[in-house]
Amino acid sequence: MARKLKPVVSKKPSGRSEYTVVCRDVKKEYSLGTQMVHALRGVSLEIKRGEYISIMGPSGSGKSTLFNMIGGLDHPSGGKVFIDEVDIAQLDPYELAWLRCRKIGYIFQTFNLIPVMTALENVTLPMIFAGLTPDDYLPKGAAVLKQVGLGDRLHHKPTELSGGQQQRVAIARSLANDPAIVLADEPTGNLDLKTGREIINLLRTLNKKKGVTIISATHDLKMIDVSDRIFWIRDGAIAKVEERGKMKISVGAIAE
Amino acid sequence: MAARAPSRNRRIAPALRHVPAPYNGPERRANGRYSLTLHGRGTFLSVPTRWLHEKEAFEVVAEDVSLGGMQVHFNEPVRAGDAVRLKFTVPGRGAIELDTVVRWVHREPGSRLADTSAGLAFNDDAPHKDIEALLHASDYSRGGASSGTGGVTAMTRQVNLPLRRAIEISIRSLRIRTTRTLATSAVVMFAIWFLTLMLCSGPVSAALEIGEIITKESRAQDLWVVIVSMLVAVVGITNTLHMSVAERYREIGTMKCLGALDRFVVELFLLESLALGAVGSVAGAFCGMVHAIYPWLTRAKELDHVALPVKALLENFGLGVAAGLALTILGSLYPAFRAARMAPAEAMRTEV
Ligand SMILES: Nc1ncnc2c1ncn2[C@@H]1O[C@H](COP(=O)(O)OP(=O)(O)OP(=O)(O)O)[C@@H](O)[C@H]1O
Ligand SMILES: [Mg+2]
Repeated sequence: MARKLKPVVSKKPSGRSEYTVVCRDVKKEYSLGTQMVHALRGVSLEIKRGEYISIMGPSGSGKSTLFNMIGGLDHPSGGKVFIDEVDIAQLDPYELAWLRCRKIGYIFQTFNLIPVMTALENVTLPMIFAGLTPDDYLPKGAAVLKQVGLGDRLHHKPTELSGGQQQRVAIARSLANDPAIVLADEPTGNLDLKTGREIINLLRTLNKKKGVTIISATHDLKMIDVSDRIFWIRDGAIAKVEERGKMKISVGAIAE
Repeated sequence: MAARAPSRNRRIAPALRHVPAPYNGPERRANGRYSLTLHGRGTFLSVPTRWLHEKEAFEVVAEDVSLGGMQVHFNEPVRAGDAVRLKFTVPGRGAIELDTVVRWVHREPGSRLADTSAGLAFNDDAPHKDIEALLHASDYSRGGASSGTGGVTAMTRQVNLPLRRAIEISIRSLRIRTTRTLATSAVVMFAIWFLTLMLCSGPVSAALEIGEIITKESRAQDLWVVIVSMLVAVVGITNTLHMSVAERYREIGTMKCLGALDRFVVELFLLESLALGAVGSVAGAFCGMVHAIYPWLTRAKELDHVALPVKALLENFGLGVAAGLALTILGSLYPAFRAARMAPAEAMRTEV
């Protein structure tokens, strides 16, 4: 029998899982000659829509590797990653490009801006990939840059900007196509204390105002204050999961 | 997924002739197919497993339709079970909206998304008169009347990077990397200069030395010099291009993170090297040819009846340009292709 549909388009279709990112026993091994490096030894985690998650751990524990797995930027050696219940290993190149373009925004420790492009050009590049025309992407790009406080720096090249400003451009770029998830790998790693705090506040605001799920790998203890949950990873496995303010989370559940 | 039993309340209008649609696949439908080509718009309604928002409309091409459902062509990653609302504009009836469920999806392994066909079953509560109107539309479209092309205004997703945009990006990136661009095209120019000089000086000296004895050894030496200059061009150009692409692996990885298809990346680099190679090769071949003519110019007075071997010169000029272009493209294609196929994380950490 055909499934009955609700006649009215529902914003939150029933039956949709509340988890937006699910990892099941994700493993990653690198072979260095004869030696195998186990960067991830079977990580399982579930991240709810709208959560602010920090992934913390010592250097070399596998944070960046996990970041790459969740973001579909590398292939796991074992296990599965689901984004909104879709196993991303099953996606064809076009769907994968779509996922990276529209669904997830990426922020890197080293900013990874295209050096030859201005701030505005960097921010509008994903919009071009998404098929927007100049009429649409130019004002939108300017608006996003304004939102991160760079309204007066549209035509500056990355080399003409400070580290904090470059990271803001990177954040603006990650938001270009209104992603549901923002993945950040040490977004404050190259910034001083004050600028780092500004960036964290910016991410938190996004998370609160737009309901964007934020997943951030970090060393930065300032992140603890704003995170809903913290995954501590050690030696390629999750050592513990900390929930900040259990109360707040249960209130959220009731309110839903 | 069993075929649905024909519902009692759905009867075909008697006026409608039943012309079966040509269809060779396994029959999954209980009702007869009517062929048609209708362009319309679809939106995902409830998308338990998809990421699309309901606001995103996409293009649908209906291929044939029966009382129970229709076969359509999509450009979307649909899956069985997805709920889709279709909107068609039917001649003489205006817009029709029908809610459907995806029953099956078929895509040849390795084929593009655009070749996805899917079977959509109408929902039980889809108005019968609307379905009938669609069947009538099949009559229209068969009769040559223009098929309804309703509302294909908002295609929110693209498969191609528009060429103009790609050219813009390439030119900009060439202009901004001025030093690198100049150095690379200079390498192309000098290599092709040398090659064309060697190619052209043969015919020129042959023309000048009419009557003189050309020994076997000097011919063999000429050939050897041409081969060496060829090797210089191959090694010099491909290596330079390889380096200029390889130093941008991180950029390629970043572009892939932003949603670039592998194809876009290759396209961008191809355009860049095409521009670079064209300038370098033409300039080089021109210099090489003039260079080769030089002895003829200086000795023109004493040998007033010697004509330039124009045809041979032009041929070798063309050969020089072609070699330059081919080597530039080959030299950048391989590294660009390799980088584009890497997972983004891998490309971003590859340092050269
Ligand atoms: N491409 C690679 N080849 C080989 N080993 C790798 C590769 N990438 C990462 N590793 C190894 O995997 C482990 C985890 O690395 P990862 O970069 O994920 O750590 P991290 O937690 O992000 O560290 P940091 O905080 O210093 O950025 C390390 O032991 C590292 O040496
Ligand atoms: Mg790291």
